[in-house]
Amino acid sequence: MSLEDELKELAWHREGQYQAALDSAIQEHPSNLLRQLRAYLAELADHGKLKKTYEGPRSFAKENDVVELICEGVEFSSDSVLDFNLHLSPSQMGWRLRDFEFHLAIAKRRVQHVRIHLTAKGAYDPLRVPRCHIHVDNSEPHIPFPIINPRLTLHLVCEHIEPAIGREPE
Amino acid sequence: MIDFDETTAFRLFRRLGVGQGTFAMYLLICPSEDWSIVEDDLKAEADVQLGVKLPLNDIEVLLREPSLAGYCSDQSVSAFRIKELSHAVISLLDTHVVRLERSGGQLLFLSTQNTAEQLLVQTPNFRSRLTEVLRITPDPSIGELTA
Repeated sequence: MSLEDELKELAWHREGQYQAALDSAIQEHPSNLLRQLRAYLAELADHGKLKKTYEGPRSFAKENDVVELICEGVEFSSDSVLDFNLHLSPSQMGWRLRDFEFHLAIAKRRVQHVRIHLTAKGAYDPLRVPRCHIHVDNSEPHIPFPIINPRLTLHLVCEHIEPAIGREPE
Repeated sequence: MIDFDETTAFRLFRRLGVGQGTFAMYLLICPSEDWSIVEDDLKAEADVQLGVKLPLNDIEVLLREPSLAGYCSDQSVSAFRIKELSHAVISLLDTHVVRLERSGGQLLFLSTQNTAEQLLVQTPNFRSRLTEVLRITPDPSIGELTA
């Protein structure tokens, strides 16, 4: 087996683990997830990290019973702005996370964007594009990112990535 | 018809969260066809924002309760439907409002516009102790999702 084939096999193995994580990660009902995400953002607003309290995310019913949760223009006190959307689909076991996008536009820093994506389907070349990945700035590399509960992703973005990334060293 | 401020369960529980441990009484007005959705919203927000299970009963349950203040103080937040006014309910809310107040809890009363207007006229003691009267609507962010 060539070195590239070995690497591809490793990448396909990782994609299989992603799929297993998605299959086993039964989400709560979308309405409850929406309320949890909204309450979390409200708490951040109470602590002065966000400029105001948001009534979103909003929910939309899509084809095939897929539910979309969208939250746009969440403004941090630092002027950074977060948009996110995620799709959940029903299964016999409950609700499954299908895909999401978290886009953070960072204000007044060396790094201007962070984007975290979970794609609905795996890519043709998993070595280049892992199903769940993070982009720093407008860079091409798709850096693998773990599949975790969207509440944890939101927490990570709001409390660790936004405050720290792209800051000048002290 | 008096036009009261509008709220949702999300906004209401934001307030209740700030005032936890302090007595408060809200009269919530909502068309009866929306009660089921609003009740689900109230229960879900109590769970998500305060981490409590919201007891939601018809007001008549209090008529059978020997210790009114005790019943309400067992819960940090309790909700009651006022579907119609009877002498017993008026007496409970007006004459015995001090016992409700002593509970120190946060009490929500859900009613229709018509019943609320009668209630406000016939229960001056209750009215004077209300924290606020609000029109509550189904949560627009939830849309057609139901758990």
